[in-house]
Amino acid sequence: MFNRNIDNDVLPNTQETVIGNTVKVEGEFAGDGDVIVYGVVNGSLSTKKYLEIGETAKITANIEAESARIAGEVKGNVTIKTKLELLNTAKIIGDITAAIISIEAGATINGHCNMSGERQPISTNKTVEKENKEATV
Amino acid sequence: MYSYIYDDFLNNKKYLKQLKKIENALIDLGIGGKICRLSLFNNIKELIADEVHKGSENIILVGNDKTINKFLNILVEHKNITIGLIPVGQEQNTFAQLLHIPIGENACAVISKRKIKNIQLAAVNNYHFLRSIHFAPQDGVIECGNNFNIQSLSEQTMCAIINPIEDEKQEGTLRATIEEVPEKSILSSILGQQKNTSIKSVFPLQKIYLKPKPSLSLIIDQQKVIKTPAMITMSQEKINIIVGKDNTIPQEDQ
Repeated sequence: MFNRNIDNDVLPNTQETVIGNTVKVEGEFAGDGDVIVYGVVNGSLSTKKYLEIGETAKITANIEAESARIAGEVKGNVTIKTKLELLNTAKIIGDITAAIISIEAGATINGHCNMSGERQPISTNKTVEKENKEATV
Repeated sequence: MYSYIYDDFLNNKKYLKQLKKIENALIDLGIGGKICRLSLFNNIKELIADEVHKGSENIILVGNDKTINKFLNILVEHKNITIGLIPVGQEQNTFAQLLHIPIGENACAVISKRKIKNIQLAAVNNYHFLRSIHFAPQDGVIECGNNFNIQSLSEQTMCAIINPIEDEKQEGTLRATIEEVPEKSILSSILGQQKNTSIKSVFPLQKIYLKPKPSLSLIIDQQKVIKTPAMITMSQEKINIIVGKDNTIPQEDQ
């Protein structure tokens, strides 16, 4: 069982992290290079570079990256410095902050979307009622 | 000054011819030296200490992966020596392949050229290893420092912790790989195919702590077996080793 051919231990020629579809990561995961997720992540997920979330991935975590492409499910806030791409199978339950967003038809977002680069405070019900009264007067 | 250490399995008569060719090649190249043969009566530590004390700066191991495994933790204590390898036999020579060293007398030319690479070792519970640890976790959790855990969701998994000695860009960081062992159905066996829809996971890591219950066996460099719990890290220790020429086509950076 352990007489392994050397070819089985060949590694990808980059510093990237790959979380396969049969793996679960729990805790605070912080990568320096590109991160590609096909499996399950619970906790928090961040990288200084590119993040790709595949269609089979299920993330229950806040996400931070330089840029990202999401095709799977994310329950948590998504904070991207530059470009965020949501493919048609993406499901985001949480707030999104990004400089540039591309959303394919079919992607679902349940949360706030902020493109100023800063998180805005959420309006309370009383503030909304006051604004509505002022508007009708 | 060169010292050639022959592993004990080379005492078998079937290696006589090959050893003669190697010895002749070494003399032709002008790098002949003292030959020491390992046996039941030798103490490896004393043998190396003796050779270094006599002024030998180059310890050349003649054997295979097992030979490197036997000597590595002793050689690491001697900072100023250069290690070489002359692989003998067609099996168990994965290190030679990684270091681009040909088998048999052709390795003598590599020794003669003295292209030296400084390789950082990895360690498991303070035992140094060169390349890899393999294990098959059963409901095991891999702790990575204090921050996160990795757990396999598959019933049949093969894990490896790799020290990427062959790639300068990846040196200094361990790579944990986790992949599902494919199921073999009768039909796939007949067709020569294996079902495997899983994606291999790769984690660059500095430190890994394995403490599964029940305890697991770890296979170190495909030779030595130890039991968990185990702390696996990159070691501070490095070795100077003679390597061959890398003739593979370099991959382009993405």
